[in-house]
Amino acid sequence: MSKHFVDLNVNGVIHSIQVKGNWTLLKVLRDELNLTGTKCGCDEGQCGACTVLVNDKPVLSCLTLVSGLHGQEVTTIEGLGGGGNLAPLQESFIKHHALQCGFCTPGMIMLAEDLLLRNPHPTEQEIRYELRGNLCRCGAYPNITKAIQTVTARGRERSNE
Amino acid sequence: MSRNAERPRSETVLEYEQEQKFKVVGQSFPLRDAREKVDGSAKYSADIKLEGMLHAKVLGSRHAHAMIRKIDVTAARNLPGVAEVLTFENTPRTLFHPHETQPVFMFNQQLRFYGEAVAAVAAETEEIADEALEAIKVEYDTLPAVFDPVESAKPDAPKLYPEGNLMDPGGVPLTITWGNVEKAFSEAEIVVKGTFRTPVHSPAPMEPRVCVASWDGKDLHAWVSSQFPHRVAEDLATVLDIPLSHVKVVSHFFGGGFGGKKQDEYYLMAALLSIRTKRPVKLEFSREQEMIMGKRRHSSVENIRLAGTKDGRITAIDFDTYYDVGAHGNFVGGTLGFLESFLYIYKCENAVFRGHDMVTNLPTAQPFRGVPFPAYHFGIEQLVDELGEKAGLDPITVRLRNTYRKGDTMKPFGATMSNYAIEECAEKAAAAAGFRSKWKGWKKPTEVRDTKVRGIGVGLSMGWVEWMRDMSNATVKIYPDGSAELFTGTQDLGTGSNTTLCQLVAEELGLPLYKVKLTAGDTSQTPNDFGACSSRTLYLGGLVSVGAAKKARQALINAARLRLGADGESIEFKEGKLLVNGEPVPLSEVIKEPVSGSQHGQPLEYAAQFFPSTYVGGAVFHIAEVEVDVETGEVKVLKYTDAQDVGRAINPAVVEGQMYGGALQGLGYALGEGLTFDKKTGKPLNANFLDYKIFNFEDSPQVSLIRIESHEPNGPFGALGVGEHSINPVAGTVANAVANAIGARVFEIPITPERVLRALGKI
Amino acid sequence: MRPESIAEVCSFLKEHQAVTRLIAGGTDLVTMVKDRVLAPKYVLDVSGLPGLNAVRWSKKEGLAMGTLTTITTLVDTEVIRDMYVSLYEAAASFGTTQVRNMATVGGNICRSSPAADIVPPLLVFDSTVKLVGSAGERTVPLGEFFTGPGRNVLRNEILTEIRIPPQKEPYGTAFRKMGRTSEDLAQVNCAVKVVVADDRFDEVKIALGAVAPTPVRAKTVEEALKGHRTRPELIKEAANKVAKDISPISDSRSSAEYRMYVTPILVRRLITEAMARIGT
Repeated sequence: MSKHFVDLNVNGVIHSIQVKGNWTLLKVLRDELNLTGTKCGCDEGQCGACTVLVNDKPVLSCLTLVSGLHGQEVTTIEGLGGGGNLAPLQESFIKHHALQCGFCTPGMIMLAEDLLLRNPHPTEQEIRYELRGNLCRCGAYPNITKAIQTVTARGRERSNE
Repeated sequence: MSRNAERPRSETVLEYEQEQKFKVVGQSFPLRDAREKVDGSAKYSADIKLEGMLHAKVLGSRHAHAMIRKIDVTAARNLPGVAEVLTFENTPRTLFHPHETQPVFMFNQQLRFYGEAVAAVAAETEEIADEALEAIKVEYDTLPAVFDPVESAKPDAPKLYPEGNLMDPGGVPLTITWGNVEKAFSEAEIVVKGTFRTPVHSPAPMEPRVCVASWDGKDLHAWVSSQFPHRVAEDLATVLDIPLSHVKVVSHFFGGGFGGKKQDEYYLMAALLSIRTKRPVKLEFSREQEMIMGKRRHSSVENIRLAGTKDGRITAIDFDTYYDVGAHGNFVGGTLGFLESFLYIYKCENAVFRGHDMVTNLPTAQPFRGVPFPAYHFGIEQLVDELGEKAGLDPITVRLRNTYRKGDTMKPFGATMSNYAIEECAEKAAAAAGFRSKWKGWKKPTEVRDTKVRGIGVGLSMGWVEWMRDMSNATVKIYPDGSAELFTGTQDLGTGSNTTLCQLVAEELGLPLYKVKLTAGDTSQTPNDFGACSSRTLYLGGLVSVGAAKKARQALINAARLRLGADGESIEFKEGKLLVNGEPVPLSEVIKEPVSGSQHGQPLEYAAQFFPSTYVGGAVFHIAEVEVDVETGEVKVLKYTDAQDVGRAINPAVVEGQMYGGALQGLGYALGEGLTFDKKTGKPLNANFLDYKIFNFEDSPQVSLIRIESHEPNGPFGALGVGEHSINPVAGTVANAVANAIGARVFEIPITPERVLRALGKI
Repeated sequence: MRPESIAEVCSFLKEHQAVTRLIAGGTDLVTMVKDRVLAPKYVLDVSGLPGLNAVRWSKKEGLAMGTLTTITTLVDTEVIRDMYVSLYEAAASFGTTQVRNMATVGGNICRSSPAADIVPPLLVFDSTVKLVGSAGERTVPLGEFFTGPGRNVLRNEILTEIRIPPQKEPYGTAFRKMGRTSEDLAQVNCAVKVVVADDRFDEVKIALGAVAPTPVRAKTVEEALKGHRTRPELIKEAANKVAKDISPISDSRSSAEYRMYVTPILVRRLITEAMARIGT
């Protein structure tokens, strides 16, 4: 399969990269752009660890073909917070012990950020429903709920602005 | 800190007074590595990228039991971009000896499970590696296979090993017996019995296992997702014939293990590929491979009988179990539990515990959170309920009548219990769950609404903390600037030990937590520790960390004495200050280099081999409330209560995270999880997250956690290990609740709607 | 490849249909390619085609959904929640947040899985689909679109629009999916629509998924109820006849036996629920 160029806007930075038609956004983020904060837990859309935002919408990067992302805005966990600071949701995760091994954490945070922008005061039921695509085997679910409920998204700041 | 007003008094009253002044222990400090985890900068093994790195993939066997007659890798080798191909024919024939499974070669010619590694390829890209796997030609001579432990024990069963399929030491089922079991049964006023079946249970951590290996001609540097980094280093040194001092294994961030990620062949493959190609190599498993080539819990068929008196006292336990330990398993993956608290869960004068650890042509088993306890409790808790029903006692009373207490001399070796706060756990759980008001009687639902019936059930367990005590090691250094550093060979799996062990050291030295640095997850920098498993990390790792801190402090005081010529003076190190006769002296005046202290696990007194004279393990008491739709068979857990004695919560949030995590995995075991295999071919049928479902956020039941802190005198600052204990009683507790709701018992987990309907006689 | 117009798609399909797949959200296609179930030579990314992601409703025309309408859009569109609540319920129970953001109505239909969640409600509303090819356009009733598991009547065509015609009112409708977990593929999913007049069933539409090679209408049950009184015993008796309309298989989610056992129960409950919702 031949490669072609794609201009990928990730966290506000435009990367011009050569990709193959069957490359997923997850692969490109991790292997080509060295943005390893987004994790691969299953590579088939079932665990949510690969969740990133495309045009502010949470999607599964392991099922997103990068060729289709020309001109789209991708935000990863590295693009949350700004200037070395953590976003309020990230601080809340730390404070409320909303993680153990941390592997599911970036995906959870990206999804939760979007949820808070749409619904600043979600109930526990709403959080459970909206995050049901993100698996956590360590058992951080109740603390994740607490972390989300005690913060309101302030909006995302790009890491290089 | 949570306190419990009527806590039993410890031997040393002084300690209780002192604890009021704990500064660091008992605080829910955030995890010290949380920042990297939330901002995406944490480098897990799969995130390591080295220049010139090759990608490796593993080819798995297409048969459950076969000999490789011929393997032709020529076409694969010749593909452009392929750097090396490994098979059994070109790899060292040095056995590798994992602690928890059989010795095996990196590649075996006799393949014993569908998916067992046949070859490994290193190539420029993953795609080329995949193509190369497809170009490998393998000819198999298939052998008859066996997939069930009871079948595997039959004399005419296909043999996986020349010595047979039974993996217990001495070639006989592991048996521990005391009293006169047959007499007890013949005289018993009540006898209850049942056969209970449990499935293959996959640990399913979110991070698939992975190794990045880099050989530079002299030193091997490997990033590995393993709970046992020092054992991994030893394996690499032994099999690849490299001096141990030239092997470094690193694992700073680890995406969950639960017992499943310890010693495996894949890192040997990655390292050898790196040695042969002279380039770094990354070998990452897919989710499917993680579930098949990774390790899992045994499945079991348990035949249990209880004999009791008419007032509900157990006089005999007859426990005979067949554990399927998979292709390369041994007794550690099954009857290991007999050596922990199995024999002490319920007291009786007569017992026989017999375990058959049988190999099968399925993926290998090794200890996964709780080892055989979750299966044991699935059976025994239901039979104790049956006994209670026949004796006219409620489920809590029958249990408290049959459990040991602190100070009791226990069968069979005369060990005594250190603490066992089972009554307190039971009472607090009952209060939180509203048990007394909800319980309507045996097999009487607590509530009936249309087609939905509700039930309540209980279960208990006893934890453990001792495993490989003599392989616990820690070193603490105190620096001239008044800070300290802990060097620990244990591995933080997400269990928070990186934080909690530092809390212990900080408390011991009187330092604020931020002044205690940590070195962990790197075998070249840390003392040899067995690794993280068996709920040993906080307890044993903690004891040696505190011990090392004490020694470092003593080394500092000795240095001060020497330096200041202060033989008769009082010298203390308190709150980060060196006090000579009460006057502070800067550390830099006394030491120019750090002082250190190292502590090794101190030997215990034993009542019998594997059985300490003083047994330490925490009490666990669970209550489940369920709702069953008797038309569809669907079971919903309305509320689950977990009351546990944690000794002392060094970091309450971390402890509760472990309690909840174990309970949730137990609920999955009880209600929905189980790896299935084709009955004829042994091919895994659901080794992926589409087909194998762990609890998601929405469905995860409410779990109420009750932390009891009885202060364990043998533990660091009174703490107990807790990692596994909350998973133990869950399947049994849920089964009892379902039985209470529907008036019939389910004898096999997971308790699917179909099994409920079968129990009700509807299908 | 990213075609810029429907015409471009059609002319490409005319040449290369056999080795081409269309991708929109990708949640099914990418998975199938990774699992080596499919290996298309060409993948046409139609997600950028203009004008295909709108939802329009009018009392006269009913509902029209462009093929690229995401499942999230279905959940968020008020008129669907108000007027076609079983479709709303199916969309809300679909997968996960991320999958709902990515998956499209057209993609879900064209994937033609027998378990497709949004299909049963569309069936009970007598939906039609517009198929466009280089030979022209045609409208096909959704009930005639599926020919087998993963198979449909598309011939070098792209599905561009789904229409729900105006419905007889007042009606009640309900959907439920049974699954091992909340986001799992269905063990069985079912949509019901009822219209009642003079205490009798004037209209009964029942559609089921995951229990036959394609989504199906429970015609035996419908016939047993149409024109009859709305009595619980009758409903139960009729629901029990659904065995004639289904042929479930065993898979990771359920045994055939359980599906057979539980489908009549689900049908009965949903008929009752739909009746309770009439006029709401």
